[in-house]
Amino acid sequence: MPIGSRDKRSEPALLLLVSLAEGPKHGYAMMEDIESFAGVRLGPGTLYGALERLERDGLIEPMDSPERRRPYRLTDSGASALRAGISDMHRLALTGRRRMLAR
Amino acid sequence: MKKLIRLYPAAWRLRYGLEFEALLEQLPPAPGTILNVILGALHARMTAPPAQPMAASAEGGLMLDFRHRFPNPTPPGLAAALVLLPGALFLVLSLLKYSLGVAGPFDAAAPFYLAGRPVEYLTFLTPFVAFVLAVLPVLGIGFDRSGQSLRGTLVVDARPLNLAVALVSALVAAAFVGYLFLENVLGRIHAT
Repeated sequence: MPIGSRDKRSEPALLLLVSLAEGPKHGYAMMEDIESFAGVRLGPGTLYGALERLERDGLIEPMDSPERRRPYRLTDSGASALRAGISDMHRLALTGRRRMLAR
Repeated sequence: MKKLIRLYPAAWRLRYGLEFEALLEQLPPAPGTILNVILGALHARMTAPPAQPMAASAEGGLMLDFRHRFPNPTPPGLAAALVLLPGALFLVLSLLKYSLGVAGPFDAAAPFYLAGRPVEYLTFLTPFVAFVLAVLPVLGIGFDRSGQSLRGTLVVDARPLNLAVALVSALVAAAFVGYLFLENVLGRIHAT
């Protein structure tokens, strides 16, 4: 999945990957974490839409859990996709900063 | 708010239902959250894979399956909506004129709709064509013969667009047929 693309749908997915980069989390913990570091409160429908896509693409995987709340973790492909996405954003930020300084 | 989970497709609920329910229990039932769940369910329905065909009988035998002919039923659903438009519009304009007494829009469109027999026939046919266009891609019929018994299966993919267009088409078609019946059959009975 093109995490670094400008596809609007990829934004919640990227936020989820960043959240899971810290360690496995269940849905509510992801919502709280994303709100704390990005200032964005994902709705439950948006969250699970993105989770479903990421799982289907093999970027995250569910973990066994004795309770109904199921934690998810990054897969190796997910970590690679996140690295690529962050690298894209870093390059974009550097270019923007350089051009703004040159004005 | 947990009842909203029923809006999601069955396969989705089977996989995510319990954990999604646990998440919803932790959230206050705010209007924004409810809307987000409804939109999520709509999106899940629109992107759900087509229903899986039932497994062929273990004994083998004849297996006919007409499912999965249209992996994406949205384009024919949109085409059905377009085909339906002139017929539905004619019905609305007629109701406005003959039921509510608002004659302006009907009179303005009358030169087009009443241009001749072919146009009238085509207008009459639109809901029937639209119904077939909308329903065919979401309808699955299968026959599975196992031993001496022949089993038939009917599957309808719950695609909101196709089902909505099919429902409106059926209503418009019923109105047209009802009008023809009243006008031609009952009218003649009265005349005699």
